[in-house]
Amino acid sequence: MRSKGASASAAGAAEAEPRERVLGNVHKRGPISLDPRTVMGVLFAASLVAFMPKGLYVELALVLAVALLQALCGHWRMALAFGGFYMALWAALNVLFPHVGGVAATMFTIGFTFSRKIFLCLMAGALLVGECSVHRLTAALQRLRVPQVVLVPLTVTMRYFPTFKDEASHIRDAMRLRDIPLSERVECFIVPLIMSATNTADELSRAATCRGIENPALSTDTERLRIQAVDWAVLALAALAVVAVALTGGAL
Amino acid sequence: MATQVAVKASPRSSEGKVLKGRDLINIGIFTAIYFIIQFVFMLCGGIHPALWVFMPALDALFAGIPFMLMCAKVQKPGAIVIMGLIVALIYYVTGMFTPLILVMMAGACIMAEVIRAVFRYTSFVGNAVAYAVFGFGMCGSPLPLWVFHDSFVAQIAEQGMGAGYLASLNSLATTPTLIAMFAATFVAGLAGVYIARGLFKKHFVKAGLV
Repeated sequence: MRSKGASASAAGAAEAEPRERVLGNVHKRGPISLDPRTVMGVLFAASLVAFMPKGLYVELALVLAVALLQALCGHWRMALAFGGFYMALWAALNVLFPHVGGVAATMFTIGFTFSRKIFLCLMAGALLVGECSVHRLTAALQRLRVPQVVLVPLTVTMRYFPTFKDEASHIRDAMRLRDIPLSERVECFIVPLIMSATNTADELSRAATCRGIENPALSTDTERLRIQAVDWAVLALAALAVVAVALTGGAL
Repeated sequence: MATQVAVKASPRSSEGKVLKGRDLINIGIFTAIYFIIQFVFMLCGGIHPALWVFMPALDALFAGIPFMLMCAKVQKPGAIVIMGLIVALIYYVTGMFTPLILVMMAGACIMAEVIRAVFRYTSFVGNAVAYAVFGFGMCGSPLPLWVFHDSFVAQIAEQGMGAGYLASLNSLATTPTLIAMFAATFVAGLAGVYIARGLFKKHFVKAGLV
């Protein structure tokens, strides 16, 4: 089932990964390259820390640590963007809203506070999405013993998003040609969308059956997933950070 | 997964009670549509806290179509659990939510699954109630307002917002609002099913989709 999505025209989220060898993608962008499972571990650690009390310096240190991890994985821009984003968030919450106030303050304070709390999760999530293709993510989840009944729909869902974008723009074009009254817009958008989705599901399942989706044997993949020393180090640091924040209460 | 090939021309679900390839793909595609509808409302939820609290209700009102269509296509146990699991997993992996959403989603999906099983999967009433219950899963998104209330208030106070704002926040995160959120979600779910049924009758049945 690995590449069934690419087969049917509908779900062709093309993965433009450079193939340096015949078998197996060599996956390296920055000085270190992490296994997706490691990034998932970091994400899990971030979600544990999210609602623990922490001081400003601890929070800053954690954000910097994850930004460093992003940069080391070769995502320099992502690290810089999150750093800037964090500063803007902090400035808005601590300077702008309390002292300037206004409508924006009452509207956005909760949302921004929530963003600040889950900031580490956002960073780790962005790293995971930036680092892995759908294919690599699925392979990692398979290694984590996620059953096929979940993996197959998950892959289809993720690969359907780009198709949805195409489909939506086609429908919008068609609607622009004919002057559709505002009250009927939603219906005129949803009905063809559902129709095409149903057809896609039919086509895709025929194609996938031909390619052996019903085969109960474990499928193979060309991703070279291996937990290396770097991965263990990152995981250990993440666990250490969680324990430290939990024990000290982030009092620093 | 059973080994025999089950390609059929009819749009109905394949036989047996075990999920097969075509069922899994149907679940995947309708989950994608469900997710997109939901995501739009989640972005709206960032605008105002009150919108965030009633975001699950808005979701429930408009996301009935993909859910009901999936119920019509996959009349087997497990479909709803997988749908909810995927939605929660995507949100969680992209770092947008707390583990609370996983817990809420799992609970709501299992309840919905039981309701569907009791009504033997084909009944409209059963699917409608299952959908209304399924909506509770998204209540895991604003739930930190209550569960981590102290942590929220402490940080907002530390950031220097005035006492007036904190008082209004406290008035938002009360037990009556919590109950109102769940009640609104349930009612909106039932209303969403009726919208979906209207569209089904008007378009999809005629086109032989369901």
